[in-house]
Amino acid sequence: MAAYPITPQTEIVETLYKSISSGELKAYAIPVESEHSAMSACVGASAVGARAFTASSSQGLALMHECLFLASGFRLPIVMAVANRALSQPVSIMCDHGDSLAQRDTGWLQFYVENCQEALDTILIAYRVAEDERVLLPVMVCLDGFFLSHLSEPVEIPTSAEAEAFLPPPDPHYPTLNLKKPIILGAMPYPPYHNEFQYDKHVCLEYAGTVVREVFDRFAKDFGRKYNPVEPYQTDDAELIIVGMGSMMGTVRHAVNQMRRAGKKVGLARIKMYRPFPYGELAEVAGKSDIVAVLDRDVSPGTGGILYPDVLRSLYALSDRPKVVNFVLGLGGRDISPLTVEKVVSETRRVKKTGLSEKETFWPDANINTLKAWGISE
Amino acid sequence: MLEVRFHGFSGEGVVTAADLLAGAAVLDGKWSQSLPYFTTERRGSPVISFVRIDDSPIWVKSFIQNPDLIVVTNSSVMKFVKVAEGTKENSRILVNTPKPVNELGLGTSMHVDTIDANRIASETIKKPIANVIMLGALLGVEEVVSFKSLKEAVSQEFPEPLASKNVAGMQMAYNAIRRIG
Amino acid sequence: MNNMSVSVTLKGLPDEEVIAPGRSGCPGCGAVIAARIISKALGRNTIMVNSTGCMTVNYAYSGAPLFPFIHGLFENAGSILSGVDYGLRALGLREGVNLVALSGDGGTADIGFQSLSGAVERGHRFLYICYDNEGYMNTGIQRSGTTPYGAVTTTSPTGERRPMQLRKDMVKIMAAHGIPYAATATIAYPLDLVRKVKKAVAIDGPTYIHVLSPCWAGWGFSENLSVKISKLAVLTGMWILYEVENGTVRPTVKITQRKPVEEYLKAQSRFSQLTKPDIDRIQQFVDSKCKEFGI
Repeated sequence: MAAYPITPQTEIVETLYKSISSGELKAYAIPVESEHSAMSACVGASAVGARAFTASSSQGLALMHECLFLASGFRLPIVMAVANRALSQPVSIMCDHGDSLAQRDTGWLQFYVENCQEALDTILIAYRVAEDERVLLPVMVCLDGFFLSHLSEPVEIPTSAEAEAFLPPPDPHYPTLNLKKPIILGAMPYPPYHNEFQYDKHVCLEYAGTVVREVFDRFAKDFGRKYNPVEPYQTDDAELIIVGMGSMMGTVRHAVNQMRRAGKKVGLARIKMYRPFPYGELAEVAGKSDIVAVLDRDVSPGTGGILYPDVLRSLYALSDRPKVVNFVLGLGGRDISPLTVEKVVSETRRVKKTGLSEKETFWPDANINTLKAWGISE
Repeated sequence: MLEVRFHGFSGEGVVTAADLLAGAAVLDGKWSQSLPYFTTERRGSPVISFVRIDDSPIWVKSFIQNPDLIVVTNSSVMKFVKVAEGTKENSRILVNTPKPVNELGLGTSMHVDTIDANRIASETIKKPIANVIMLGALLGVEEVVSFKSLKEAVSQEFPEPLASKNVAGMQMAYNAIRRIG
Repeated sequence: MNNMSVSVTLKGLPDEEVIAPGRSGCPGCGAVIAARIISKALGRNTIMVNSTGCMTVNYAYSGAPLFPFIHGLFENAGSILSGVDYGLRALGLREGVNLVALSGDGGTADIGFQSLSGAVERGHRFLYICYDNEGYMNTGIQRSGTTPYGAVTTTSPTGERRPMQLRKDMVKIMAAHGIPYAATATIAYPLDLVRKVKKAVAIDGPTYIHVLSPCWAGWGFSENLSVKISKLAVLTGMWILYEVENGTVRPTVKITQRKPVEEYLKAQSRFSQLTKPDIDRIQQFVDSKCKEFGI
């Protein structure tokens, strides 16, 4: 493990340091001097065939940006936990998805988890997927800063034997730097081959979705917990479906239960696997509803939410596709409560009734008084 | 589902107390959740910890707006934070203070219990850290978890003799709230 | 201005505080004490660049500086400084402005090293001050390049055991860049610190001051003892107060009877895992460094 501390990832690194120093976890840890070095060190370790791990958030993740391309370009099965935190400026140590979504085009797989059990499980799954010879790509496991990184809840922890049965010690099926069969990593292929390298990576990342589903099945067999790239809840007869990622979807689930008790036909579709994006599955789950509300805990300034276009693409080919409304909310760790979800639902229903609104993107938890005081119109 | 909100200052074990409560609930066979909230990272800034306890899995992961129980581990935090915000009709507040209830500025419609947990702490663990002792008082206000499980959680968290001292303090606080002995 | 002597007395210090009232750091924070002294020495004609660390959290709210202040990222104080230096020159505004960086040990010796080294090598005019609390304290006490040998942190749970030195010697490294002035300082010797700050900002070139700033939360001592621990560091030789002016090394506070390092180590729980061989090793590090200075 090579990691550099940054809130709210620190718990992860500190806990691992404790395990390593006590001998419980047989690993080496490098206390590197920056995140750029953390990912570089992981690249070095993975390149010789060792299993590498790191964790980061926000600015740290942004600092390692160019190194992420090293990892995916060299086709190294590195796994990184990202404790989602907003990017500066302004400085925030709290949660939003802007940091990992800014890395969505780096050739890494990305998972977003809803609870602590899923965080644990997905790390195991991530390595198994990453190291599969049909994939050989790095994987990011994203968990909300504070809302998951600092949340305590009951979790089933597999025994070492169980974990090893699912994820045996590393046995690299990829060319590594070794004395017996020397390779050069980082050559310059020039125009004749560059495009084909990228095509290969693209196709493998696409196919990785299939491997992920296989690994989900195997995980279910070994541990009894079945995951899916899109996690639907109460969607079969839903007229309104809320799509989003991360821990806020737990709160949405809670709100959906409340709304169902009140007779509202609402459901949710949580995107667990964001890259490669499960276009087909989302279309199947959300396509039958009348209207879809996309919750983006992130924003591409001037354009809108980042998950939104992926959802649109999912639904585009459907002949009778639902309307889609985009909500940007929860930025900088702003709490998303069941009340916020109700606000989202009522706004969505209003759009459904009146036709698509004057705005492309809604910001349901913006403080109107603050905006007014700053002279900003809504 | 029961929602408990802890208020205190960082460096005084508010998060630990919340985690212990959540841990005890699990030992009772329930589902629980403990989530801290603090704005800046330094000792002495206000900290809030949210605990939820339920018989079935808890999905919601937001701050507790309308707590059933509020625990104030350091009454000085009340100068900076509206600890009673969002209280419902039946909410109860427990404050660590030697002052009487009417001097706390909480209004007359609140159900307030006070406990001089710092005094108990100085007698038992010999330090003015009342976080764990407040849990004993909390159980006196409402049996949110079993005392047995709370004791077990404390024993798992702290080494001896600190664990036993904390348990003794918890018992004293519990008795004080219940007016036993 | 070479071999400049600056005389500072307690009475001579201005009454005016150059920081706003209040404090947003941990009570007893050594870095906050350092910042207050440094601000007084600088006065209002200052533009300060800060890199992420305790003094971002502790300096940007209550107790904030009353001069322009920019916090960018963790690793780029040196590069932002360079831009401010040349930007002011381009606008004809460089004269009469103290350009100062205030960074922690992380933003100086580790993640910020590259940009500092670059800025210094190019010869920009600024005073770079490192407040050294010997670890990444704001993120919860992780080791840094200046964490002393033997200290426990969450990323050195059995004590920092780097193979070659007591800690990364930033003043030596800065001096090796050939800069006109580099110095150590600490909060227990405020006049020494003020004198060095005033001397440095008067020099037309890159200058560097490394201020030992005890952190009770990370080092393990009572919050009211920051100044005492700072003094003990000097009295035991764990921290030597000196300056390097155009290559000439000169101690600025002479210790006549050096105390054994054990006194310093036993006063902080971060050193509680030290064995006798560890303590001896640290004493050796200190002895050989002190010999260089004739202490």
